[in-house]
Amino acid sequence: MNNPAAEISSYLKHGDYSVAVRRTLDLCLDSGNDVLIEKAIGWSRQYHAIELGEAGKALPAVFSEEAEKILQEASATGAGSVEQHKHLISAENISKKYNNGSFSLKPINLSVDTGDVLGVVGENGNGKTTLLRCLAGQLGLNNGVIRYHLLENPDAYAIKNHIAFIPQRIPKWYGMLKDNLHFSAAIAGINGDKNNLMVDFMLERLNLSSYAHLTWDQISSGYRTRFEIARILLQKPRLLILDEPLANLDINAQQTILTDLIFMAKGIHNPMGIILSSQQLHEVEKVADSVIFIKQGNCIYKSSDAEGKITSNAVEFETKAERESIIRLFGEGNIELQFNGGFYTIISATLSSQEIIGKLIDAKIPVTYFRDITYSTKRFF
Amino acid sequence: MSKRPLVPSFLQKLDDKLLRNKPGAWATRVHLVIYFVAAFALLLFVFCYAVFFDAKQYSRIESWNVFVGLIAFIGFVFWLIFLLRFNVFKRYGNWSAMDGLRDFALYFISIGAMVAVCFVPSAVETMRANQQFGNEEIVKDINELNINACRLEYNILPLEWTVDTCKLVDKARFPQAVDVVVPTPDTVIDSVRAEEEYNRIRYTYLDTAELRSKLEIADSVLKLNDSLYVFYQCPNYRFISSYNADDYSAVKMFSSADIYNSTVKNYKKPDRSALMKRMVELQAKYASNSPYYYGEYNTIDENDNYETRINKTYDFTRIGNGIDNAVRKKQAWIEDWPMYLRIFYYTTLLLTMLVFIFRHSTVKTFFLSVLAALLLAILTGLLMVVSQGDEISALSFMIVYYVVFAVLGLSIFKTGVRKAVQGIGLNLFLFATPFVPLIFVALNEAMQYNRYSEPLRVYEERDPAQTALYFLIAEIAGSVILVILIQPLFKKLYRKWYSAPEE
Repeated sequence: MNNPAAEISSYLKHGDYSVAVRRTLDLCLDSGNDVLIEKAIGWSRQYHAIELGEAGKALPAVFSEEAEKILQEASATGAGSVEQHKHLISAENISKKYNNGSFSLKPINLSVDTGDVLGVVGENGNGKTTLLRCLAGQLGLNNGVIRYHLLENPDAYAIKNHIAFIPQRIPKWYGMLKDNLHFSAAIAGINGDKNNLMVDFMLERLNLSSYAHLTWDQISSGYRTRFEIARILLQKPRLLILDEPLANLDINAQQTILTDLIFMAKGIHNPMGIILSSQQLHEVEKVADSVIFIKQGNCIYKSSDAEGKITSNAVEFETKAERESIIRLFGEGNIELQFNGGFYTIISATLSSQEIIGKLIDAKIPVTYFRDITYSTKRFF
Repeated sequence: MSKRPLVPSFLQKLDDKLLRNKPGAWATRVHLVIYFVAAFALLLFVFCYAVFFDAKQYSRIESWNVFVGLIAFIGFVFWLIFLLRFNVFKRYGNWSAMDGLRDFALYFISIGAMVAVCFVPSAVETMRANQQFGNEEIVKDINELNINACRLEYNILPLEWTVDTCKLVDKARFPQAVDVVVPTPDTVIDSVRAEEEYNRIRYTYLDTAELRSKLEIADSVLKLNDSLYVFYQCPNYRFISSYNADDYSAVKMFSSADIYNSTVKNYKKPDRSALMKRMVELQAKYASNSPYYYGEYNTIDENDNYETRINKTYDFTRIGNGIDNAVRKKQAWIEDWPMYLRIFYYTTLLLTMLVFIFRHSTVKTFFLSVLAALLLAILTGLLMVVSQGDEISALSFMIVYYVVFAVLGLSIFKTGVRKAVQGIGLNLFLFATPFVPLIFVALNEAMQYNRYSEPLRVYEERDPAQTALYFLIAEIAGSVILVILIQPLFKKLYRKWYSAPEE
């Protein structure tokens, strides 16, 4: 992302207004210029007002003109330059065994830098949440050590101030949602007018402004997750740990939230690391810099270690064709074919994914879904 | 920012400002508490001012206290609901060096305001009573009522003084001692008809303590020698006599002897109609509405003695009740303020400590602490019953418990995980701290008292004022110790304990 302003202009040019607005807000935040941020917030409000209004109504020309002005100003401040990566957290051989002996997390090593996204995947009850809670300082370790590189001799309170953990079941908020956001910003040291500005920014950034005057009981579970993310981001954590953040979100919101988090993590306003667990493998893998797979407390796969070690390619696809016709197409012994009731999985040491899809199309086998899972943890499910 | 109902714009602005700049102070809602308490207190003051217009009526202040106390309690619960919504500490927010002490002070102010409002009816009642009747005014009116009654009913008044000859003996050593000593005239203190009594031969035997008491209340005394006294008691002419009415008055209530000397001894026929008119005025001024218990009380019976007749004739029972009611209300805050202060202070302190602990502890640990304290109290009670333990045993138990709580609480510095037992210890350590000096003083007093019971030990009377001073110093010292330790010790312990990972 060498020239974010140009990238945003391209979005505007092609009518991708939603992403353009969000990216413009990020750019202005990175500029550190409060006046510019305020302008961007106003501009975003204009967009959302039109978006909420008559469906299909075209955006006025002045909207794009104003956008260009904001982008020019933001570019002039040098916003958009990338923050250098810093070591954030590293865990060495950490393990955890519960007192009742029901489950144990086997020794795991991992590290996260600022701007990195680490995805933790695995089936239910296999230790994802335990690992995240250990990293967040919520559970004591039996063995191993966790280092928080940006803190000097931290106590547990400082660690928890440094890290934000969003659990799968978010505790209820009381009072008006906006008051909670103001409070969170204030306890992080964002006071006075800056407090108002940052709350307004976060509401616009996550498209929550129209819900800010409601209470917890008046919003859906998806919006609760988004408000919780807004609250946590206002506290400017250096490491954000999210346990199943996508569980309550619809498919569009999943995409939006994940990309928003990535953009914000990699921004220079508050560069942070992100660790998230999810069952949505493809969504996580799409945005994560590295992924680990946990099965029965063991880390059985790390994407960072997998490069060069994978000896076979794997694809999954959906078709109404018979198994025999697929085997006939590729030849018995050339591939390993599995069927899980919904998808076929082909594992081949000789054929690449492009070659596999090519053969399927050439043979006129109807394919309704296709994905290369060579480097995906899906292979382990 | 949410618009709160019944909150004026200036307070709304203050609320906004605090939320954005001082989230810790904002979360305590002290500004809203003070505003609402002040508004309620003002309303209550106006209402009580209107209701308590007649100080001579029987006081219903206990009912008022219960009523206002219930409202204050509802307010307290309402405040707690708002208070528990936001917690900087549990959100791991930034905090300054004195946040713990500041939070404690703000809780104390908020709770103190809610507790203080309970005293408004009592304070207004006293204020109204003082507005309605002056100290001297009441005493003068009592004297006037008694004197007027004597002047109007002179014909039925007894004029003879009762005589009691008393001999001072050591009752322990000579319980049967009987002696007759001829008096010497120069020992006469008051010469009222003294000579006529010399020939009495029936004595009342007194020891020194009884003599001292009798001397204090005697209308007249004739000292015959060092061990023989003749006491003269004037007939009762004080039909209205309010206890303590003249404590804070320059004018004192006349004794029966005073009335005898001023009015009865040299009786002059009065202007009856003028006196009756004045008596009606005073009756209207002081007679309370208290009902009589035995039918038509004011019907005079032929067997009634002079006091009953006068009481019935001039409605002195109601007047006396009215004066008593007024005097009690006037003096309530003068005499009982240390008690009121302690009720206010300890109620506020205990609730403040509970709120502080709740805000820094987990819900589970808080309630386990309450349960642990109750169980310890029950177990200690059982032990005391079984072992027939005394006050010293009970106080010693408390000290041992405190040491255990302190050790558990301080052990948090050494551990890396959050343990419930340490949290319970810390909660109880904090809660008991302000009472530790009191326990030590009480223990010392109990030990001193026990020592005097030992054989061959000379009893040294303890000065109650000095003992009270020791207890007062201990009370103040306990609170000072708590305030000193809150930030550097308790807040640090809570920070370490609460943020530590769980097992």
